[in-house]
Amino acid sequence: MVKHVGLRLRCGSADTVNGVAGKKRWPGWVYAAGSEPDARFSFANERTFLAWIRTALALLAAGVAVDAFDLALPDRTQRGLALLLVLLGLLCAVASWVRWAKAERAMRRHESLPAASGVSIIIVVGVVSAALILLVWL
Amino acid sequence: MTGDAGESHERTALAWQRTALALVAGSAVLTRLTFERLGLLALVSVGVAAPLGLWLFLESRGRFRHEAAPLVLTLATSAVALVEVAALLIR
Repeated sequence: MVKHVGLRLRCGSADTVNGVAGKKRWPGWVYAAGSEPDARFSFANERTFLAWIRTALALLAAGVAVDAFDLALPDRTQRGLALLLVLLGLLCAVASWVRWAKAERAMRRHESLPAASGVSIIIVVGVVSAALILLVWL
Repeated sequence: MTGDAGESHERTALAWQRTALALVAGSAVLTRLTFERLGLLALVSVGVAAPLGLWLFLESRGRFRHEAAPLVLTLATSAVALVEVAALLIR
């Protein structure tokens, strides 16, 4: 139960404008306005962020694997494919933080959650094209 | 807020921990795979991800959350990705 002491502080009263005990929280564009949402909502937002980061790590792992194994592909194609997957992973990692921050900001201000960005479409298109390239060549 | 129905604090800490573990393990494998091509630059991967991953792992168990933790994880992941990009471009 000791664990929850921090939680109680964290979900302070509605007039807590800038976090715990008036301490400025970073980044300001997320925390400067609004009130603390239910801690469970913030936790859920964090877990969604983490799921996206693990997706980014999976894309990186796929890129590293394409690079590491000797596939029956022209060398340039294999490297291009690996680069595509790694760059998608990088994009995914950055986009997951932006999504987390925007969602946290919207929850603080009691606004509706931001619409899905185009990044997930880009990732899906990228992965499907990578799979098609592999299928055609192998 | 007595008792957190669904133990969301605990589930979130576990999610942080398995993500940190995956990051550190992946970064070590990448350093191993790129060492021949990049030399010491390959050490950036595990060198950045291991300490930050360890910090995130321990931090997630704490009572007070760090608002910078998501950005730290994003930057560590990006550093690992950039090492692989360097390896692909150098060869």
